[in-house]
Amino acid sequence: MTSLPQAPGPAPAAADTAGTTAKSETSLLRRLQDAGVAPLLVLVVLVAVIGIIDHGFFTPRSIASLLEQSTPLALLAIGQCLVVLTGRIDLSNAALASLCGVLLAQTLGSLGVASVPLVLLGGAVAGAVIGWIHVKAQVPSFIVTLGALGVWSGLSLVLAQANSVLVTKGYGYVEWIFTRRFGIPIAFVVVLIITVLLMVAMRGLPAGRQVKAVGLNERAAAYSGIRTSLIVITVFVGSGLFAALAAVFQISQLQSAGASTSSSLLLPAIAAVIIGGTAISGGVGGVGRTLLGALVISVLRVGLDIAGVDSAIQPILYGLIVIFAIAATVDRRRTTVVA
Amino acid sequence: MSAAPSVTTRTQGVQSSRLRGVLRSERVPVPALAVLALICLVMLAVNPSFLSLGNLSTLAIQAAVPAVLAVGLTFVVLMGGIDLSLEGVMGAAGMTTAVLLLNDRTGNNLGLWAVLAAMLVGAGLGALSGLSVAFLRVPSFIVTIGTWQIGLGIAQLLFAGKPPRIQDATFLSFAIDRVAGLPVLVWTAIVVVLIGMWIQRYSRFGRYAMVVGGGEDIARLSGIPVRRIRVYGFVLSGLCAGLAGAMATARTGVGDVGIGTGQLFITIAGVVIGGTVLTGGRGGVLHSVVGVIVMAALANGMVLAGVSSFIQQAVLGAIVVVAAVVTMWRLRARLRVVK
Amino acid sequence: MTSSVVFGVRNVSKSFPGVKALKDVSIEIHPREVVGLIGENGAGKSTLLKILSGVQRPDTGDVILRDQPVTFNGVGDAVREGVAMVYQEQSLLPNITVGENVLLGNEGGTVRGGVYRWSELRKRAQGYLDQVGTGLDAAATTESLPFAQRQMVEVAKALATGERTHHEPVILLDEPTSVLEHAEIEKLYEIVRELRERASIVFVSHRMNEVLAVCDRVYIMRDGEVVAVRDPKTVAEHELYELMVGEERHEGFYHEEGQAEPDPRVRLEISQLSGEHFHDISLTVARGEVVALMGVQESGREYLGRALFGAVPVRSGTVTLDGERLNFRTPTQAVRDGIGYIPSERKVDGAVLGMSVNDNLTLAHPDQVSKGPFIDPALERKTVRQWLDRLRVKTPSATTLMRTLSGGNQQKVVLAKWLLDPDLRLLILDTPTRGLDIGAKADVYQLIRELAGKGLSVLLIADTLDEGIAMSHRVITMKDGRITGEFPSTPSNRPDKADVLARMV
Repeated sequence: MTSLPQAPGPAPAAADTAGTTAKSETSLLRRLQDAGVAPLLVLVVLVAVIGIIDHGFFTPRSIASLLEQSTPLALLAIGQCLVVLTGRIDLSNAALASLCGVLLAQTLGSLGVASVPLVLLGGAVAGAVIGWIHVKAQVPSFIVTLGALGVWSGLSLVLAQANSVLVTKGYGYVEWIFTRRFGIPIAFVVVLIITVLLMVAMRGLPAGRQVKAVGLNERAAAYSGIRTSLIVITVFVGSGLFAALAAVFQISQLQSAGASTSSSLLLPAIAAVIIGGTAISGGVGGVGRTLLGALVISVLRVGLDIAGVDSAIQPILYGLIVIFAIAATVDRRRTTVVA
Repeated sequence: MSAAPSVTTRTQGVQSSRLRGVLRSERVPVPALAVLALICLVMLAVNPSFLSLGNLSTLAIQAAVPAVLAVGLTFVVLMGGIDLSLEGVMGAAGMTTAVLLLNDRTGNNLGLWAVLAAMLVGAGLGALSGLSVAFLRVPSFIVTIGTWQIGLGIAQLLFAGKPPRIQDATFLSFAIDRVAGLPVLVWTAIVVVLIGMWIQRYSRFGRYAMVVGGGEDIARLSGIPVRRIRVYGFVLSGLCAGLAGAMATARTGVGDVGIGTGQLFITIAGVVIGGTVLTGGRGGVLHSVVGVIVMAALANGMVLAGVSSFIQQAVLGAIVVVAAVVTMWRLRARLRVVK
Repeated sequence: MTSSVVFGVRNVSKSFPGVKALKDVSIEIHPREVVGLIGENGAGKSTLLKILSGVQRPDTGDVILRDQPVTFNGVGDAVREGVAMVYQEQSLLPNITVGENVLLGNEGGTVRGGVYRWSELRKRAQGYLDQVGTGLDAAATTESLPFAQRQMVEVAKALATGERTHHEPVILLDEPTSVLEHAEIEKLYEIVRELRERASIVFVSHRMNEVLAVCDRVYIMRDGEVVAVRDPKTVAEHELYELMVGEERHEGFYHEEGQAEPDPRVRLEISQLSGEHFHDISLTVARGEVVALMGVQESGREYLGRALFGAVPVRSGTVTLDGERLNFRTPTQAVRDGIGYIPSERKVDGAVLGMSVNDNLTLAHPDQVSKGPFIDPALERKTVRQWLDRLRVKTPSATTLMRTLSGGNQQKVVLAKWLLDPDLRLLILDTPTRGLDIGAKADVYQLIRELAGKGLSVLLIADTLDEGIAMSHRVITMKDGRITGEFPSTPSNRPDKADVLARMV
């Protein structure tokens, strides 16, 4: 029996080719990517360039400031990374962060410190709902999360109207996040600790590998007995949780929350994931690299400001970065149809 | 790509004339029309002025822009892709129009050539999307998020801090002057829809777009230039979005970066509700436009029912999800992978 | 019949690493002739067809078209030269009309200046549809057509494709009758006889009677070679079977000395199981028994295997494993119950090529290398190393990517994945040695023997008759979704291949 030829070359039913050596097929770029070194290199280069342009950049103060301000972005990016590792996308995480921010701002005063775990739980549940709909109805993640984006945005607006909600009473519960001890920003340390814990978990728990397996070859993962539905829902729970966490950080940073506070972070967060070296098709990458990617984006932002570039250029830049970074690293060995 | 043989069901042989009947029902979006009828019935109870001539004319105006967007988007979706950049392209194109027409900020006075320029801007962004998807093999949902932001960035650059108020009377009259009871804008939309329907039925591009969506491998085997068709699809979508941006700008009379806000949900939901399934190969321009009318009717109905615009956004987002779930429900299968 | 060769191959050989798929094969098709090609799985028909249709190029030898050697750099080239294939897998698009499908990519003058002239297109397509005698209207929708009619549309399409050149077309039919019912098959014979008036046809099939009914000459293939060519009018059916089936393999390849008596206790009991592709299946597998499931394409055996693993829905019937009633709807539960499954499409369904050998090996049973919830790196390293050594998997290290391994070694890792579970009770293998080189095959056979000897039950969906008969304690044949025969099989008393084959086709 012959099946439709997919591409010239041996078809699957025939004897397959002998092992192709990885080294001869991959370019230098790919090997750097695989090693997770690329974002680090880019970061170093960027920092060096900016440092040369503006000597004031290298003061402990400004570096601490940069690290601090990158944390909401980093948290969103980490949540997104989990979803992208399975080959999906979450277009709603930034909007969810805005919603959680508004909710938190409104309840910190009345519920006190309890509002924080409640909001985190709410984020996780929101993620679970989205993941469940996507898995059960077998509807592409981009459309489910696109709709969710609308729902979260709308709800944020309903709660906050067009205003920013200022946090007065209760701010103390989260204020401490954006402080520094001995010049070191607590916010970044927290994010760093979370990232390391997550990396350890993904390395050490079978679920970590299963997430990647689902991203690389979901059918084979299912045929190996992996509960792919549960894995997918879990990563969306993670995305929701991190979105809520990002909201907490933003309240700490800004002492207020509005319906669109975090929304502009959607594309930069995705860019951070891509630059960090996580493939958009899934299976390759990790949260550690994503943190590096988030730093690259933050440094880029600072650098553009220093260079006096019009802020309107930023979205253009992120758009181009995302497109071309993916294009440069798309794995042509994986013959999935791209539409 | 599993080599499992295609599932065959042994149905009874169907006579020619019955086939014609089936064919006809695929041509006409019956479910969407049913929903439209339902909405009309509900609104009769809630606020009968919905069906007044004045309101219907307003409805037509409100549906004009998403209808034009839907024409272009349909071809992209038919091929199994998605174009999320509509709002950004509208922003860039609308701003282009405002800046090139007689206005209170720049010295240009290109008259209606400005509209052509707007469409070219849209086509250019569409080409960027299309080339990236077809040749760089980056998934369309991520590319068009990128071009969305790029479009917004371009709009922001052209905006340059001060909104350009259009002073070209002819252009502004398109939104106001009526011909046979409907404004020129509505007639423009009708003409575009008819052209779209013609393209789908009679042009090689239109037929091949359907073929690519129905089975890309088979299309390639038959010698169809799949990549080129993909690019054309996105260019067409960009062209339509550009025109839509100009049309929307005619209504407001001012250059606005956010001119496209909210259109994405209405258009995508409309396309999906109408029966142009996200997986491609089904539906068409007529389907999408009927779906868009349904969405516009819903939005209009919500306003008449006194629903706040914030809640409306949430509702539209929810509808996108529900529409996608309902239309894709019957495609579900065990171990089917949908990302 | 003239002696000119309108299409064929001359001294063609094709190898894949470790496997010689075709050895010095020559076949000729004369004008207006129907040539049959028969052989069992692994005989090389598939590869030969791929070369004829342009998908593959031969390593040595020539493809001959109209007495001249020709090179096809892909299906497009073959199609342009008037060689059209009717694929077993449907190549019609469900969402366009029948007429559009027939002329897809070949619209010619019916589309001028990028604009479709529908009445002309319909007329031209109708011409082909009528020539083939489909009785269909070119404006009909493709989606609602039953399989048999779609097959005919495909033939019309092939004819249209073939007539692109001014020469008479060559049409390749790949198992065109495998899903057709009796009346439809007769219809197909008529069409083939009609087509012979203006085309040359290659008819590939498993089914002896069909090939005899409609072909002018029949080539018999076995083990990558053409072993004979016969005239159907003068040859006896049983001679064809024997030619197809040939002599026994050399001793030792299947490690038959390792075949032990199975435990009398029944482990797997299937009772009246029905699903979309199989009906009323009842069979048992004892502990330590290897049962071979034999059948041709569309016999349903692959689906039965998948259903037992929870990958495909079951409509009715029961399955019990060691007495417990199984009620699984996902592979996850099957794995928990101690079932393992190796799919036929290893690269797509069996192995995650982008992960390391180590990760693939521990994919199904990570608990075996964990202490508590966490994976124990030292235990993992040790376990993985043990299995790699035991199965003689050739790999630079456990951390190399699965992708870099040869097919045989990949398959061993996929097998080892299941063996990690000490409570593995049933292993379902779907053509596990397809595409493997001789050495790898032998290793897999030995492993199956060992495992069965230790009490593992094996359901083997075998690639070839040889394999199924030699490796099993019992051979069960399936055809059209039902069980059609059962043959006990011991080293001293193997069933006759021709007998088994007869129950399959």
